[in-house]
Amino acid sequence: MVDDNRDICELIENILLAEGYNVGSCSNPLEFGKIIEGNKPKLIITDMLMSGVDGRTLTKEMKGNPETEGIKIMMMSAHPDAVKISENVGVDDFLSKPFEIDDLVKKVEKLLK
Amino acid sequence: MREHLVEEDRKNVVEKAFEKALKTGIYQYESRLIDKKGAEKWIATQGKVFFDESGNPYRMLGVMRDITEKKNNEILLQQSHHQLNTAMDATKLGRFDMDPETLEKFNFSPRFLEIFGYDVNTETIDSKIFEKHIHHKFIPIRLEALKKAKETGDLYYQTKIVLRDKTVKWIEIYGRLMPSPDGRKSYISGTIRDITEHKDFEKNISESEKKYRFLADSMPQIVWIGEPDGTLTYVNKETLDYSGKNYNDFIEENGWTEIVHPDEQEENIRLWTRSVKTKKPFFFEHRFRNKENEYRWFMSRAYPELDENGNVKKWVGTSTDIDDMKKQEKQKNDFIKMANHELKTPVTTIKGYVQLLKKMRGESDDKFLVNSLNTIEKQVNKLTALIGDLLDISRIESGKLPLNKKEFSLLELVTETIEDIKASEQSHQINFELKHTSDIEVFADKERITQVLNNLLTNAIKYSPQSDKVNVEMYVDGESAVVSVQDFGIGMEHDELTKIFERFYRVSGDDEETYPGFGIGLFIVQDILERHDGKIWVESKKNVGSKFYFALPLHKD
Repeated sequence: MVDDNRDICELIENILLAEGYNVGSCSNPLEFGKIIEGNKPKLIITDMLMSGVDGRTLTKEMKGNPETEGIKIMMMSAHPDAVKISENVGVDDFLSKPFEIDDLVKKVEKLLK
Repeated sequence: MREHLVEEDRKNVVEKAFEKALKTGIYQYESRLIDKKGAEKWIATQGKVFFDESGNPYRMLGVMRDITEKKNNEILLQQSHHQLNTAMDATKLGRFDMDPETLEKFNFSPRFLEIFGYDVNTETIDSKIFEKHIHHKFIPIRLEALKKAKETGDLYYQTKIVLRDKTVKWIEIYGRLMPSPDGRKSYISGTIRDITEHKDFEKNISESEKKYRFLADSMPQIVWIGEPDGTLTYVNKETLDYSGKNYNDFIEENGWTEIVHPDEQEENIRLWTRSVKTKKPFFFEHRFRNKENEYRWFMSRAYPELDENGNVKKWVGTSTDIDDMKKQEKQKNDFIKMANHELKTPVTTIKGYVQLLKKMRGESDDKFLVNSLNTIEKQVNKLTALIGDLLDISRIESGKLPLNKKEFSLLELVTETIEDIKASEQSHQINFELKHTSDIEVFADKERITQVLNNLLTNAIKYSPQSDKVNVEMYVDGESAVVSVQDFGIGMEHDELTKIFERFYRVSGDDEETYPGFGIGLFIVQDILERHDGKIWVESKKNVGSKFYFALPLHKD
């Protein structure tokens, strides 16, 4: 889970942990590269507008690298134009903030099937 | 011979001339005859009668000439004289002749006297009359015109004259140098016309034109005038001040297209050409380059001035600088987007934790905890909706409300939305009746239509605090799917019914009691429906209740 807002990272971590998933979070996008080296996730949930590394850049890097291109990416954002923007960068799904827990869980479930 | 003469002339002319000839010895007449081809000819006969010693005529000797041509010319001349006189009468032209050396005038027509204020019947004027009346300021102009006439043969000038009673008149002189008929001395044949009224009119016109030019020049707007074919013939001072170009750049060189931003040039020309062709007003927003080579946004409008036949006489256009307005509008919209984003971030956390808590503790026996969580969730959802409304209104204003249309079941949407409302609002019983034999499919933005119904249901509950019932119906009417939401609440007066769809209008109840909200819900709802080619309307009675309807076009395969 990548978001420069630590509270949101924790929230999503808590929700997904309660659902029985193994979750790690990163609230400093600049450290993301290091974290991912250690353990490759099946799914990355990332905010779109972050200081440091933008969610769009992150998506492009992941999808452009043969080693990481198989990782599913779900973009999250509260930005009004985010749906359109994320469609253009090639994410696997999108969730707008604020969200319903049920929606989040359903989407994660589907992406990890 | 007698057979060829025109019968009338034979009796009246020829026979009389013959009788006369018998007495005087001179035989002469002019008469018409018809030649063997049937053409009419004029002949002139001149003859001499010879008498014997006793005075009896015994022989006549004469010549006969064909004078048809001469005669016809004479008749034409007479006719043209008549026509000329009629024309001079009708145009109130006076005439005179003048000696080009001494400037003495003669052969005045009666109208000449009239113009100079003399009584035609009782007064006569002398050859130096003109010099007595010409306004002294115009003497040089007259001399100049006379000098020119000597070179070109044509005399023309306008002058003021002062009458005996001191009234001042404007006259116009036209003349031509003519060779004298006897070849001795040439003279000027001239006409004179009273143009006082014309001059006054001209003066009024030019004064009113001056006034409007001054008005146009003192305006901060760009003002221009175009011909029916769209070419510009006038631009005001501001146009030149703004663009740093000179007048002729605009009038002769099509300078106006040159200052339009390249991105808008093509559309500009297209719209202008269309307006010129259809004679319909022109509206366009485009950027103009100023003398510092910067572009600013202008809003231009032009209206055609039509004559009684509906043809364009002139185009009058203005362009107003709206650059600051545009910038502020963009700043405002950017700010709202940013605020929307920033407000949603904390809301996301609150909402997420409330839901998480409900999930984990929702089945708890602690009623206080469960109720509190429900209330917080309800209020957070309201807050989320308000934040969304704020963004919607700025998007509606700039015409950028995005729609994501797809086919879906309206029945499903209505039942789901009712269930959602029921989950958070237990104060009212929501009854739903499907008045159609099957499901209804529409092609629309599902989220936006949910927003519409949600808004109507929330309003129905909000404005009927004393009631506990809301009725929802769904049916097909012609080509539309219709959904109605009826409450039994405070209702509205008739004059309020249209106002409620206006931006920032808020219904107030008894004692000026107000209901929470931005007053933009129905404004957004109306816009959403308009953008779906649908509509919304309402029936209401004060203190009885309201019934809102919305209609969407049925999806056709």
